[in-house]
Amino acid sequence: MKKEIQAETMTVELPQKKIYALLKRFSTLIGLFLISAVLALTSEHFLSLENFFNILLQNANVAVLACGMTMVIILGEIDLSVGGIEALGCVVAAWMLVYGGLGIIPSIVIALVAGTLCGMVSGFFVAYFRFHSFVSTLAMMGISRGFALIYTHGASIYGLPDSFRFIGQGSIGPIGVPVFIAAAVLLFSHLLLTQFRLGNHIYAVGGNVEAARLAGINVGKVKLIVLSISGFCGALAGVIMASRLNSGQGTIGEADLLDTIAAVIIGGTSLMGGVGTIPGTIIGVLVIGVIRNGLNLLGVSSFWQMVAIGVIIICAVLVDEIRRRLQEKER
Amino acid sequence: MSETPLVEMKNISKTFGAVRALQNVNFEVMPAEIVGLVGDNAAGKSTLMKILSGAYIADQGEILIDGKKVFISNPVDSRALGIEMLYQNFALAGNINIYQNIFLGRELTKDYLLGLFKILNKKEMAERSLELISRLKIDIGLVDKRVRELSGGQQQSVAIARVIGFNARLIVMDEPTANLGIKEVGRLLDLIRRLKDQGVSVIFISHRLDDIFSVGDRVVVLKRGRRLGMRYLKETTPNEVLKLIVGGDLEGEA
Repeated sequence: MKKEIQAETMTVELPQKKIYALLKRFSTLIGLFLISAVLALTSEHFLSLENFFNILLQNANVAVLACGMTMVIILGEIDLSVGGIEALGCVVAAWMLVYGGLGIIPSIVIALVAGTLCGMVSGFFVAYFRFHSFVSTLAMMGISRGFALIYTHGASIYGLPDSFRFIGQGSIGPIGVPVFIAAAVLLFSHLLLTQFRLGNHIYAVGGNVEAARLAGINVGKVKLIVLSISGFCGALAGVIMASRLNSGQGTIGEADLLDTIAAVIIGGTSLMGGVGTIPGTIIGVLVIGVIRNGLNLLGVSSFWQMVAIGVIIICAVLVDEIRRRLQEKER
Repeated sequence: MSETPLVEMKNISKTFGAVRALQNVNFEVMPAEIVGLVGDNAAGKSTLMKILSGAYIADQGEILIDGKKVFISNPVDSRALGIEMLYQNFALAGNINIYQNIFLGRELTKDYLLGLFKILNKKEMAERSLELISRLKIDIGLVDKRVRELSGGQQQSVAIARVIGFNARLIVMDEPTANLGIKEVGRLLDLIRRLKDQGVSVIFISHRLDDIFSVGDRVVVLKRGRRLGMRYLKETTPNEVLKLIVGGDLEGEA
């Protein structure tokens, strides 16, 4: 019976409309290919498998951050603390290894717990004191980076064991270990959003808080959990960075907040909440990664790159807004 | 009235800031009874029902179910007691699909790895939603359509499917006929009669006395947060009820 109904609706759709819908759906992917094509033509080094794997490696930490951020933004909130928590995770892992005398696994676990706790604290104020997440995570941004700098006295922690390098610098075949970590986090996040009750509740809260509450969803708890997940992702990205840099540095990840939010928005997650997917975020991360890589290859300074990413954010939101207005007109 | 009421609300009071929304209101529903709840705007009808559904908590008063005192502090409590509410604005999330809305907050899951993982059972939710909606004799088509894409009437059907799908003992409907055409109103009233036949009680907030008179057993009138009176519909006329609503003299109850 269900098949019949499906067949019916399929025939109703006009072919042009279908193509239009497909175009709309894959517009970001098409954009990614266009940017890649332009870069392939302007830089001889861009189009190689080696460079592709390099892009994946360079952006693994942003991909991890973007997983948490996607959930947070679908929920209708924002997390400004990811860069700070990333630095804290990096420093805590390094500190535990060098000064704490702990093994690799306990050090990583402590770093991840620290990041999760940071997310939990900002989530707690959002959930139970009705703070806007903008405020509580802005505060957490300062707190986490502040602690990261206090622990390092503004310098770097060196002398990490060689075996710790595997996480950030190791590779399996041609692909770096951080890429596998990011892939695992992306997969887990995707499953969480699509196959679990929590995912369902995240979308519902982002779409209509009041309806979610009346349906018996504990809205505060959902917000607390999601911001904790985002904190965990921040610390995990930090651990990857500690291993990649082979040191603990309180200054890392300052550009990552910009890149992460840009990637998530480009990936089609709406800042209004309720809409977004992990596959979209993957494309968003690749767009940002490809642009940064291309600009590097073309010798554009990182200062100009920040300007470029900022402009791209504006464009992405503009496209999102136009898309929404078109949809409203259609109805 | 020797029978125990299904639900009894006693001396319910609620204030919002300086506004006294409800003052010592008593309200009761018998098993398989259809009660109309009427009154002017700001009479406190929705507030009273939202206290019953757990959306609000009363400042004072108590709620008894089957004669036993219960505490309803959130929507989960009232659902667990068999009370479902159809909200005037439907309380649906437009960004998720029909079956996700119907099962929102009580999603069906399947256990994996000895119950370590509970994965959403989308197939069963979709099938059961389709079944519920077909029971309403309303055409929606695919149950994985987003609710935002539906018309107002279709959205209401989704909201109705959600309240009848979980073996409720009491269904509260807040202005269910306000935005419907004549045909749809007829269908809804039929549904209410069928629910009564199945032993379900219905509380029915409405401005339209005709609708209440065509299906109801009793009507309770509120005004400015107080209970004005109660009438058995067999023993009264729309005119008398209307006078009660508009006039508002506190008469002795029948």
